[in-house]
Amino acid sequence: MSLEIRHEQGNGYPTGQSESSLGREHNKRSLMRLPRSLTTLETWGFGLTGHLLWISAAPAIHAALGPQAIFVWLPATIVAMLLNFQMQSLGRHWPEMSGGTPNYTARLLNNYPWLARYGAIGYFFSWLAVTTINALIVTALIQANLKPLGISCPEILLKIGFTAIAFIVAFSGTRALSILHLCFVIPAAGFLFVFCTQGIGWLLISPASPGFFPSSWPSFSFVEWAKWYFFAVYAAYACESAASFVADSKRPRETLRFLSFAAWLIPIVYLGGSWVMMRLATEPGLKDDTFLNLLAAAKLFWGPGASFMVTLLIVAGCLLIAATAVSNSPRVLYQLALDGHISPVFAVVSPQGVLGPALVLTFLLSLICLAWGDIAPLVMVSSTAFVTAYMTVHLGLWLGRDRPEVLWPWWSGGFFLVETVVLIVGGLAWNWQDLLIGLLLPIAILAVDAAIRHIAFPPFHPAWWIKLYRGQSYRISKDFVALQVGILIFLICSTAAIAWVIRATLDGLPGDAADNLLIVLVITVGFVGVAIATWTSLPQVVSMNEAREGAEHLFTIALDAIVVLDETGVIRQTNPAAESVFGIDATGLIGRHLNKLLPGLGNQPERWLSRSEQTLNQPDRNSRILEVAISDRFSQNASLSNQDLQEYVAIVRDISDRKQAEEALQKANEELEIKVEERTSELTHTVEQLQNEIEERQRIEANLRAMQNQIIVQEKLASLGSLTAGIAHEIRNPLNFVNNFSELSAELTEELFEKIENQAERLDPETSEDIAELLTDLKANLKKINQHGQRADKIVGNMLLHSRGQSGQWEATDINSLLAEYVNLAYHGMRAKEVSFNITIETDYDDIGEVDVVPQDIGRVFLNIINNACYAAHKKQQEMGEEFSPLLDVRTRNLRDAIEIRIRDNGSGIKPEVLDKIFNPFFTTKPPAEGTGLGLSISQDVIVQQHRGELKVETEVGNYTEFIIILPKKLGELKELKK
Amino acid sequence: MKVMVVDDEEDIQSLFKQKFRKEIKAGQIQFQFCLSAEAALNYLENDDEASIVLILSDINMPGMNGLELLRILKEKFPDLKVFMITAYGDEKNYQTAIAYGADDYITKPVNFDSLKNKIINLE
Repeated sequence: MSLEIRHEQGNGYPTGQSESSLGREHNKRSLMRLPRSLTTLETWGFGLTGHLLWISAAPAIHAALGPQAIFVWLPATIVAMLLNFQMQSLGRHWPEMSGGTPNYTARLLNNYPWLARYGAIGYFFSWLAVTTINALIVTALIQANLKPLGISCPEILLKIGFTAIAFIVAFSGTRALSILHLCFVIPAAGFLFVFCTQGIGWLLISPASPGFFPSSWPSFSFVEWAKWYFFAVYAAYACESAASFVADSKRPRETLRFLSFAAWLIPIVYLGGSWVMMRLATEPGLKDDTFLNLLAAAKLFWGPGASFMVTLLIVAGCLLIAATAVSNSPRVLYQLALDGHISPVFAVVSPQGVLGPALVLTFLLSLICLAWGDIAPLVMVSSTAFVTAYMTVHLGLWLGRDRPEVLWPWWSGGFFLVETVVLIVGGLAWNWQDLLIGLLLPIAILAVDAAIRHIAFPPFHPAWWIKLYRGQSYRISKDFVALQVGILIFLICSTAAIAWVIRATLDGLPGDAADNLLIVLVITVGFVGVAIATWTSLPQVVSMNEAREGAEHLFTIALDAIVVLDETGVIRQTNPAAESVFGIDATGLIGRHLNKLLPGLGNQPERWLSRSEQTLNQPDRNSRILEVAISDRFSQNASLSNQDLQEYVAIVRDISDRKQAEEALQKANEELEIKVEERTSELTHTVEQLQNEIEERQRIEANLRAMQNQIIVQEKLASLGSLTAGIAHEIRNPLNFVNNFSELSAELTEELFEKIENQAERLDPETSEDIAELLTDLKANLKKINQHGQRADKIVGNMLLHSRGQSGQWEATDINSLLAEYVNLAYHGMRAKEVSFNITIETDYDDIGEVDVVPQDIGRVFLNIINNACYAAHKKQQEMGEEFSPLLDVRTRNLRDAIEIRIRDNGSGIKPEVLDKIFNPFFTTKPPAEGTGLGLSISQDVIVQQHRGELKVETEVGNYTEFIIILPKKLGELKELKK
Repeated sequence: MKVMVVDDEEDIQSLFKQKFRKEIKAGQIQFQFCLSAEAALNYLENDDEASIVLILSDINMPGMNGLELLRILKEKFPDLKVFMITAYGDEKNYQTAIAYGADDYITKPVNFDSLKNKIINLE
């Protein structure tokens, strides 16, 4: 659709203005772009308007200056030509810009925004005034023609009608106006060029020619020249109007190219035409009347038809100029609004390319001009605005001289100075009041714009217009044909009726006058007729066109190949997608039977499946798989049942990529599964590793805990040990005295006893006996003291052993020999204590090699257990007598990771009630003097905590006791930790 | 033969005198008792030290301990024999005493029979 949000500024043109940046932001969001709807020819038509302006301007200048008018036209022509080339260059630089000259200038003057706006608005005003001026001219012409007939002329109605007609057409769409314009511009411009060239030719060749050059050149002042140059500029400079339509053009380059063509037409019209007028329109009394001047010249070489053709030229010219002005002026506003110079509302465009708000403002200003009504001051004011506008153009070109797209900047600077002089001298020569009004008018219009920008009246803001245009969608009338026919009938009937009335009226008139009036009326009626026709049917046509374009667009951009087949299956129509699917261009496809391409389809379309997959074999490409959907047979028009018109539509989609993708997907899936499996096994492996690690960790933790226990126990023992050691040592000192003094006292008692025995005869026997008895008791007591002192010393010694946990060194030890040594030691120790003791010792040593232990401590354990065993066996023997034979059985065994030591006696065993207490410290079953109760407690500490082994006991009351020591072989890590 | 006994406990004097009364009577052994290491050193430096052959010293004493005394004695009077007599039978004290040059290390309670033998063997 043509309704789209404008999303970029033309060519990313930068602006330095802070004030307009807000408007610019607004533009970006809400405004629309002018559709590129005009053909090259239509834009060319608009580009010829400036040339037709010569018709209005030339007669006045010639009437005033005579032959000297040429010297006004000559510089104007040169500057106008250069301007055309200049605008062509700027247009190539900014092909997205609408409005032409004033808007290019506004960009060149972007550092002087107010100057830029002033110039552009001046230009806008001078163009819009043209509509009114031409309406006034045409009205005057009709009035002049009707006057001799005595018919009163509806002057105001005609003025408003001729002003409004172009606007009415313009409101129905740019396209309608441009086509209408084109219809009239070709004959009008044609007549003008023929007039100029034929006139020159006639002057050169014809025997009736008054001579090519004038006989004399009347002199004239600079002020006169400036006065008329001021006026000539208004026509000649306007030949660049094609530039205004570049943004509308479907081919902007071609439109711009026309500017150079238009440039070369300027001298033909402005110099050629003026020359013809100078030489041929010399009759006195012609004054500045356009019709009479042209007629005077033309009738010499056009003969009697001249009057008719001149009238046609003038009327068509005036209407065309009005049409161009109506198109050109809003475009200036549109581009100014886009560039942020004026209110954004003027940038609103309807889907038909109608610049609604800008057109409304232009129309209102035209009506104000019309209300003013007087041609001369209106021309003066708009000329002032025009000259001022071109001064800013030339100033802008000079200021922008560093830009590559600006041509001849120094010439422009010169022209600026000349125009300044012309404005002041010429303007004042005309009328200072009009000059002042012309200079102030753009400022007044800018003030109006400022008001529009700030007043909160909905139509002053883009949103209102956008809503209006969006809501207004032209629906195609249900019976468009009937509507069209109705309008045509109406137009033909009214034309016929008007013609009949005119003929009836004109019958009585002299030939020329009747003809002239006829042509004025015919053209006017034609214009009105076209306006009505376009106004009523153009929106319908546009909608239909849009619908058709939409359908064609869908057909063209469809990704699926669409082929239309006739009833035999021969391809009649294809779209671009079909060409790429089949790899054959449209010309190769059309006329071919579809089954030639897809052999899987049969000959007769009636039998084709509505949906199937076909293989397309191509010589130079891989075979493709196509999905083919065939429509039911249908007629192009449902109301016709003619067999010849029956068609099929086949939609063909290349699904080989999809198939390949599916296969690839399948493959990828399989690969993925394999990968998943691999990954799973990897994961399983990792999990196993992790589990192992966890187990390892747990093991280490367990070790650590055991270590901790050991450390705690050792700490406890150490603290207890250091305490007991301290106490023990201190106890040993008094014990030393107790033992020694008791021993000594025993000796002394013995000595005393001996001495008393020697002197016994001196005492009475009874006393002697008493003394002996007392001394014997005393000696026995001292022995007891000594004995218990020894016992205390033994306890202290054992306590000291208990506390000496850390004293030993780890070393690799042959457990068998250590065990044998302590068996021997224990046996002899027992033998030394008890003479009656004897025991049978059985040993069975397995090959267990060396194990890391603390030999002192392990030895003490062995000694302890063996002592206990011997003690138990001996005790039993004492109870049972000689028939019992004590037995000590010592054996070692090599387990895989440990060694086992079993020490067994055949004593009376351990009673179950004490079995769980035997490892408690200070628990003993021996009589008080014989055991300390620390032996097994120490042994358990040594085996379990220190050596990480096990100490177990197996026993049966009355039969045996067996202590089992298990020592792990690998104590390396434990040793490491200990360090 | 003159033997010096260094011990802070006075009772030790009575014990030694009684245990060695036969030897004292026989004039075999003479005892010189000192109640501290300082007193012992003082005696040795001021009196005729040559008559002292053996010093029996306790370790755990207030002031200078027996090990310190041992070190000084072995420096100043290298010919003197020194036996350490202590209730502390632990490895550390023993090693230190041997390192300082102790001639014997006897743990309490003292076995006087073996002590007698050792003293007699010195001669």
